[in-house]
Amino acid sequence: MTRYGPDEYDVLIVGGGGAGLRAAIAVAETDPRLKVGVVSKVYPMRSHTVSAEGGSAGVIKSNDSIDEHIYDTISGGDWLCDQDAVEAFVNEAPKELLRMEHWGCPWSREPDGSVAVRSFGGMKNKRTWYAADKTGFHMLHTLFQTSLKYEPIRRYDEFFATTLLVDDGRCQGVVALEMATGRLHTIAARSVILCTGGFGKAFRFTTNANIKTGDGVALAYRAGVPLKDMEFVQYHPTGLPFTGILITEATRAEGGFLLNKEDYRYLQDYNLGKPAPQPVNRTMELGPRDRLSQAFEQERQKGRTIKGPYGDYVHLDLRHLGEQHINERLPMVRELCLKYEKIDPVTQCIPVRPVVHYTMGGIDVDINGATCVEGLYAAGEASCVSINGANRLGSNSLTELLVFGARAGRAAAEHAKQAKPFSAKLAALARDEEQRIEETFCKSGEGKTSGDSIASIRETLHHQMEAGAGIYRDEKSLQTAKETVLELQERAKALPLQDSSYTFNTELTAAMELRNLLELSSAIIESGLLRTESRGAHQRTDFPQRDDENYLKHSLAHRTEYGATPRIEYAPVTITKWPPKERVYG
Amino acid sequence: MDTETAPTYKRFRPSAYHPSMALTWWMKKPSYLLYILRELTAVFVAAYAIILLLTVRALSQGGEAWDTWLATLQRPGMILFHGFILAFAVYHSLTWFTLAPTALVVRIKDKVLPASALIAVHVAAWVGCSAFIAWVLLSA
Amino acid sequence: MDKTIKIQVRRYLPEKQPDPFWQEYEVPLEPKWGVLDALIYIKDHLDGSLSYRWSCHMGVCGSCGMMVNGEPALTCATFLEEYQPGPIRIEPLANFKVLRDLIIDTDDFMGKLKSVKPWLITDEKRDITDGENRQTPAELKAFKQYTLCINCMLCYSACPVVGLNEDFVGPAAIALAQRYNYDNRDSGNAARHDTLLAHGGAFDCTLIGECSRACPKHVDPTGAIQRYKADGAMEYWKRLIWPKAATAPKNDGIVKQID
Repeated sequence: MTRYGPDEYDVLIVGGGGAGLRAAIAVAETDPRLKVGVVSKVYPMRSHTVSAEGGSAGVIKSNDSIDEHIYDTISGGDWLCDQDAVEAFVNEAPKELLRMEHWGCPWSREPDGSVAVRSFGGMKNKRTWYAADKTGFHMLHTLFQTSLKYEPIRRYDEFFATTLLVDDGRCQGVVALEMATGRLHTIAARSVILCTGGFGKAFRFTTNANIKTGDGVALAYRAGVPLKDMEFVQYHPTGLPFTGILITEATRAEGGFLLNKEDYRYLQDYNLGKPAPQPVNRTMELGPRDRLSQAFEQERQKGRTIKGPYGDYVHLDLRHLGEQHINERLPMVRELCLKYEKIDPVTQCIPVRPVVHYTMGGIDVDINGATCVEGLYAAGEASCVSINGANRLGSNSLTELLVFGARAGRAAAEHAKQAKPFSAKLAALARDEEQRIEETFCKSGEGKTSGDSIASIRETLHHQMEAGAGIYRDEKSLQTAKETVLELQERAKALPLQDSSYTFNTELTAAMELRNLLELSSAIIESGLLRTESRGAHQRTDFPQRDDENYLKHSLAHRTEYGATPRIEYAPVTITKWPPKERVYG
Repeated sequence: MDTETAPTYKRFRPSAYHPSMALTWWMKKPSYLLYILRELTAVFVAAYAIILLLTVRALSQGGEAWDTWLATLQRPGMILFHGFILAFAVYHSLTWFTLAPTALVVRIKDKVLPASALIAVHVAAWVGCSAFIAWVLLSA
Repeated sequence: MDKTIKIQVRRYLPEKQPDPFWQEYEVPLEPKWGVLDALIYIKDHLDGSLSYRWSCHMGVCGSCGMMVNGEPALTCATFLEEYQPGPIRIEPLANFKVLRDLIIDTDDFMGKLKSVKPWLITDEKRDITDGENRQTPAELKAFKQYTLCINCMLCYSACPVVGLNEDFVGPAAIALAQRYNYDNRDSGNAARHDTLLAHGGAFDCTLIGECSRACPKHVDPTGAIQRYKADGAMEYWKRLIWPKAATAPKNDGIVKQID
């Protein structure tokens, strides 16, 4: 058996956000003999979980039920969710959230000391646990701090995974670039879990952080794993124009109104119920995100939105909530508005527009996070289990990363215990990878001032994705986007860099991220082009109806080669107890 | 790691640059300067302690030494020095009281006593004590 | 390009030259741009070799702390307009080793965070079936402020003690220790004394107060440290005078690796 010395792990996790850290702890708790590595391109507490605001769903109160959470999730996902996965998810959700409580997460509380829950879009009952409006921040820091007590967990912070080591049909580790030194490391592992988040950065206006470039999804894709339901990209209805900063759905759960330029609560015109002074679950502002974003787009076309320098927007009105309530429940929203928009939500309306927020699609995995490649797992936004179907409900994703992070961790641990020895070829594979990086990126472009830059390719991509694969799509827009992305991939085939340093060459990592985004964008477009129906977040103006006869199925994008159109296949949706129905809100 | 067959990536060991703090760091910001002045008050308070000790010694050495010591204390330089000491002692006390709320969190039921109230209580107590001592000394 | 502003960046390219140097760029003065947006513009359009860290662009991930005109700041939440007419001088965070350009070495900080045992330590193991711990809003409030630290390290940059004494565990780490010490679910105070009472612990703080002024999240590390000093002094005398009365840590929660 070839030994790989200190860089050899039982389970290696790529990505140090919520799902990655939860998985790492799950492995360490399963068996403290197992060695766990966590490779992340940023320090764990910089991961994008940190930006989640509103909360994390789990049934805990006696007036709520597991069945209702399941039904809300499935109908919210427009029946594209795998129902066995949703059942497991909803059942395990309260346990995972309680575990977070035991690890010290500072959940907001009721006067009697029990955890508090709030309403959330598309949820029939109050079941969203929250820590003011910094829930993701507190969860990530709790997970990170808790992970520090486990000796078996070793972190590789600021290591950028560039490829998976797959030989003999098994994933056996990764090659990762140590950003501080520019050195490539071969890190061998009996199981690998990808927890690198989504790829919202393919779009211009997004709540997503700079790091959300789908690196892990692209790694799996290149290793031959299909990507599931890539056409479903969620627009969050309330982001700040320009920065795309998220204004949490909790603003609406607490009673905020969405107003068009005539100060009219326009959602009542879009089959979302009638306005009431107090928020009513599953109606109006508490409808699901896809419906709300689509309503905005229709208002815009009717000319009833407000024009601004960074596109049209509408108003989110919190003024009637009062200063004390805003400070207590939505302190971050106030802080963000004061800082980035120079307005005070206590006295002024917040300008908001839909912005890309979450990618429902991702690495095709089963209910334990396993992919079709032996030893390779995925969890969190990078994966598609799928519990989110065609549209994720707000506050399900933080819970998802706990439930499926833990599941993938346990499954990967079990796999590691009985894995076969490493193959002898890993070092050779790593040498190939080194060569690929040299050829693609390291032919010196020093002194280069004009010509093809990362930024110009990225800008064109952003524009095309917004125009061609945005809230509403049709064959023509998708076809144009497809052609442009193919062309961009051609332009990005070799990306010589201005920066030839080994120390923190962020231009090199940006180039790799760009290529990842391009590959994933072509999967989004192709999946969207072939799905000739409208469902959840995928709205085709040329096919406005849901078509269960032909498309009650998952699309699976298989990579062919770099710069070529992916091959789309389909897999059935698991329907157990909840047959497809019309999706009714209001 | 099997180094023989491992990639021979051009290794570069980073050499970090570690700027050291200049000796004059405390002159860079007003807040640093105020801090250093606060620390400096210790020197003046110590100086006053020494003067007190010298006073006690003079007292123990009898009338002539006591008169000489009193004459020394009444020189303009000494009076000026005492003025300095007083200014620094007042500055020290005020900074001390204004910092008190950072260490002291007083909870009354669910409400935390605001910092300004804590400072006010401290300053009032200080003024009260000073007035009492002044009264004792002046009425004697 | 209508209005512009000059940005002077302290650069350090260890592979090219041994000492840092200043480089000037001119960027558009857009109304909503933060200093970070200017750096992004430079990297995208003027000089691809400029290196810095950033991620969330909403002041919560803690990546983009730098010195702006000599003061530590989150560059995503510091706006160009406030610095008109410029130039704006940008340097890596003070008191840290610089790896390249605006990127500092954070390993030391990460070690210090871990040294205060920032996890919930309980005397008895609790199981999920025991349900939730009760914690009233008042009990939550007792430590909530100290949970808000985003690990941006601005306080380390502002603190002269950190600059003069590299063993000092520092403001954020002590505030984090206090975050758990004041949590009614935690009983790990005793385990944290080892770090906080030792050389480099809370008593190395000379109460300058700069950390709290620099903190973008109003965590008030100064307060956290002074409050520890009060508790720590009691513990110190207990250990000195009557060691038996000193609180012995029952456990520190660490899960060991088994070979």
